[in-house]
Amino acid sequence: MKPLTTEQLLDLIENRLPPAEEAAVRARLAVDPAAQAELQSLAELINLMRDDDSVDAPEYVIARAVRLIRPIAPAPAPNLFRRIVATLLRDSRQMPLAAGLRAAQTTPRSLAYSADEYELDVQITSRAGFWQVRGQIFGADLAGVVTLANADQSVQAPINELGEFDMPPVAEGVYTLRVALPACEIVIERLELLP
Amino acid sequence: MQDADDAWLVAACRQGDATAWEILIRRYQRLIYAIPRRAGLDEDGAAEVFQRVCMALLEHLHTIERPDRLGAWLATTARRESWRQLRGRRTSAIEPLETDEEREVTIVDPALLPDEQLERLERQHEVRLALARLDERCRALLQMLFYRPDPAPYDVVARELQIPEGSIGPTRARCLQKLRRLLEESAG
Repeated sequence: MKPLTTEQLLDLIENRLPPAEEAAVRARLAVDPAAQAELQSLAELINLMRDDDSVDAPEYVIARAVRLIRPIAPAPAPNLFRRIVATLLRDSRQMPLAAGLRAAQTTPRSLAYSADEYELDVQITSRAGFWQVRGQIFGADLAGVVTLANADQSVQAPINELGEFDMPPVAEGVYTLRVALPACEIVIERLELLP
Repeated sequence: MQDADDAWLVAACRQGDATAWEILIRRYQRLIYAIPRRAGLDEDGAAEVFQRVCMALLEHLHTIERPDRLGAWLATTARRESWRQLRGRRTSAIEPLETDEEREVTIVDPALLPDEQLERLERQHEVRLALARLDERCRALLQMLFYRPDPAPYDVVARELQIPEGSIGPTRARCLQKLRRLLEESAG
């Protein structure tokens, strides 16, 4: 005997069969447990749909819930190409000396720079024909390296946990000082180490 | 991302992905809203329950152990919040999902949203989600035949969907089979 089709079972559920055909389908159904199970499964699915009187939540309710999450700003990727040129704020050489004092080459020259969210203090001293640069950086995430270089020479020093660096002595000249940090590079373009 | 499963979306939400969060909320909004309404709350009360459930979800994103059972988690949380509303026990803090023992204590009226009714709402929601994944033609046909209070006569369906009346019966059978396959897939 040919098994009942899904279409016949659905027509039975929906009362769409003519009386004679319905009687025939029921008779075959009575002796076909697989068809009975299929009929029950289809009827349950249709009942789920027919009984579903749910409605969408109002849009303002949804929108309010959607706004609950605050997107986490992506961590700034290490970007050595973000280059900040430091701006000189103060140079002790440009400031008037206190009465009674004379400038001396052994007196450290003090410079203060600003570079966006960072600040730099730089101390320059001269001794025995060589120049030494020390400094401190203020800001966040200061792990990095400082490079002092010109066409003739280049020296490097690490930045310690306090943001301090202490460069090896160099000969006189005009240098570029670069501070390489995880988030950026700070540049002092013309650092004159001259008498 | 619209088709991503719940586990994937939850993982993305844990990373602060606002798009994934919106997809999750929109996917479950009807279920979350249906539960307080079925419990007898008015629109304002249901809106408050909705917000509380979403806040609880946000707070528990990192501790939900079965993201693939998110629908059940949301339904249970929505029922608890609905009971709380109905009892007038409004609290400002969202409590963590209760243990079974605590949940027993919470029940005021077991006749209100019993497990069977909650499971039926979840099941109906699963059918709607599966329906949304059907092709347009099947979706429209099943909606006209089974989601209207008074099922449309075949001649009306044929006219609205611009298909031969004689093809409605066989197409209906094929579409329901597709729907069942989608439900089986989503049940894993």
